[in-house]
Amino acid sequence: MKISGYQLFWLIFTMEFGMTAIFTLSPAVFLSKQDAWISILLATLIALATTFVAVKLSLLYPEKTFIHSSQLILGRWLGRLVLLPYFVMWFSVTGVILREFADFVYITLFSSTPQWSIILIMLSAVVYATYTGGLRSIARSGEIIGPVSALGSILILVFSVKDWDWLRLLPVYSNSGFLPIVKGGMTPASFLAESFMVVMLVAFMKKPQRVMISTLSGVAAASIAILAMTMIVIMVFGPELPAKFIYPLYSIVSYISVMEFIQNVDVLIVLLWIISIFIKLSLYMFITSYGTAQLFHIKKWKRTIWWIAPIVFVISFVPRNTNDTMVYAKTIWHDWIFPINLVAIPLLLWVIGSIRKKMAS
Amino acid sequence: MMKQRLGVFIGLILCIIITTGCWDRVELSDRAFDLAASTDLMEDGSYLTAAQFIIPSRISAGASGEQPYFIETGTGKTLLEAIQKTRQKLSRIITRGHRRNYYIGEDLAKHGIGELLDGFSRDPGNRIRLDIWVVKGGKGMDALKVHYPLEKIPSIASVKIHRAVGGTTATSYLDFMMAASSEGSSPTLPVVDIVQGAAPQETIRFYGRAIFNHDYKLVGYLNFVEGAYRQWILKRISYLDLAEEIPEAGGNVGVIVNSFGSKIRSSVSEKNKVKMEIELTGAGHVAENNTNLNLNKGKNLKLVQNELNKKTSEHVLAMITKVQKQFGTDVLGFDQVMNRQHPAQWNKIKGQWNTIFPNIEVSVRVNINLKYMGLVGPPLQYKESEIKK
Repeated sequence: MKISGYQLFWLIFTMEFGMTAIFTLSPAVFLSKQDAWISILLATLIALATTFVAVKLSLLYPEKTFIHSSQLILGRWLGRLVLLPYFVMWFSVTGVILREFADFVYITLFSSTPQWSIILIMLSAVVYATYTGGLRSIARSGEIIGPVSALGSILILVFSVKDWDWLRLLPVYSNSGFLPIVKGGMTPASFLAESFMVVMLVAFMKKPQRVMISTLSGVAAASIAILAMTMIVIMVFGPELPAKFIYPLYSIVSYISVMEFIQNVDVLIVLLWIISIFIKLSLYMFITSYGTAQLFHIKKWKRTIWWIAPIVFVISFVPRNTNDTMVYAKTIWHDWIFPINLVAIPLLLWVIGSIRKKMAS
Repeated sequence: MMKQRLGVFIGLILCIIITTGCWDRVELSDRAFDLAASTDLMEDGSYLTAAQFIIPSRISAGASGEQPYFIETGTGKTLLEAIQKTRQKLSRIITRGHRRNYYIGEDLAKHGIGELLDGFSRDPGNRIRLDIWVVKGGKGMDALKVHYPLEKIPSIASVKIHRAVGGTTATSYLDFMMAASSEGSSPTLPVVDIVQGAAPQETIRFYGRAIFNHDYKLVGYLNFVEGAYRQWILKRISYLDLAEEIPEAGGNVGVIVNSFGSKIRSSVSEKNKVKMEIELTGAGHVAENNTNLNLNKGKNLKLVQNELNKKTSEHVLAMITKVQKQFGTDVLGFDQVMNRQHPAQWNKIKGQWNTIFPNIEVSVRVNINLKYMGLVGPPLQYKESEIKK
């Protein structure tokens, strides 16, 4: 199970782009109006910083996954204790993403197909990919799917050109202000910071020294794509409407009409979203099952999938409606997981780990 | 190894069974394509909706004289309830992926259309690329009933007329929402009316633009040319015919303008007195010359051009004054101009924009550049001696 730097790049790009582009544009524009693109730039900087810390942290012990390295840094018991919030995060986010996927498919495509069947089909695809080849098969899928989703975002760009009105980006700054722009950047940042999962992937890199460049360029590429989508959304819908759409990017794509010929292409965005979700879920499934196996010293890690999948399936039915999943993204993820799991703990571990390494040598 | 292969093989076969269909499959023969719809206000305050559906079997080439569409209606206190009533009469499921036009009767427009708007963007079955029309002096359903000789489906006619006269199609719903949700702007919609055609039957006509206020109530109309001037200011026009009298030459000159530019410079004084300087530019060619001027002479061309620009400036200003004094609603994007050019002051005055807007001092300068004279210099019928060089 070794992956290359190129594969890692596409994995990071694909799993970051889809979710962030669909989910975070609306809250960003809600807070910072036509300056949402500045918020995205800010979010990019934050995400690059957290990713830098995550990679540095994992390079302290490049052969070990986060499960082992945390114990090496903090000692056996404290190291295990610190893993607890991560397992909470991995289980919950996998379930919630599954549910968000099913909700989106329900709204955009299938309204009489039962939800469990949509979730089950995706879950079995994820389990299949994870079980048969582990990280290697996910990485290979990423190599194919990544370029497809990049191409899709370029198509959205090209198709919507004639509806752009650059004036809608003006005036810069005066309708929002410093604080709204910073706050608007937080939701996208909290999604982009998911590149933290690299701490579980570095151990599988053929050349660990390539991790930094691959991960950072993956985050940067995804951010650029999201920045472009943000600008399109504002240039087509103006500064007020995108905040009111739940999925502004979907609405943009359904608005596309090129020469009265290319129309009703909303399936394009659904496709982009589904393949991105597939990569993201597979990665989380792999990390959760591999991590669980390592934590409990289970020799055959793949066996854990058989009980993780049902748990995740059940979790995906916890939210009662689309507002509940939004609450997860806006409060639990944004207010707790992002600052604690994705910023504070990694930073702390990196600092302590570096000091311990220095003292040892 | 073999065992695993077999497992995968069976799995793949099972996939075929799953992918052959799904719960949401609706065959084409179970869909009714809704190409245009309308809503009117009934006397008891409920809504009457009507929709024009294609009859697929009659749409194919050269089929008999029968109309390839039919109209079905429903009433209710909300749009959805009215549509439900329509569905009770339909053997197929309504599919709106191809709907381009929505007509609203004048009574409803005056009453306010706020209650109708939400469903257009909330329900994913609806398209937001949609033109909503106000039917001047009539009911929305009248527009659906008009038979139009050139198009098989009559509702296609409004889209095509709209485009043929140089307008921007399919954006009026979104433009309405954008204007309604912004601080100072008021929304507008395009207007059709139903007039007596040359033949005994009535026909549909592109009338101009309907002006709404902040409560989504119709306050008045701009006629076709006024509406075109407004579109020119907003850079949303691609074609315009202008004909003006040239008193010095005792006749009219007609010009086709087909490239447009617009610049607005705003200023605001200490006492919140706002000034707008509008500069409209255009390029076009002479299509009609009923004077005895030889337009190939620079002097004559200049005369015509100056006169044309002067007259057009006056007309545009008259339209703006009408909007300011008669309607008092900002449908000219002045609020956006202020916001862009004087963001700091705008934040202070935006609350009072409704009182400031009617008193804005506007100056208009039209600058049309006549690039082509057409195929002849002076009109052909004049004798050499009659032509003014």
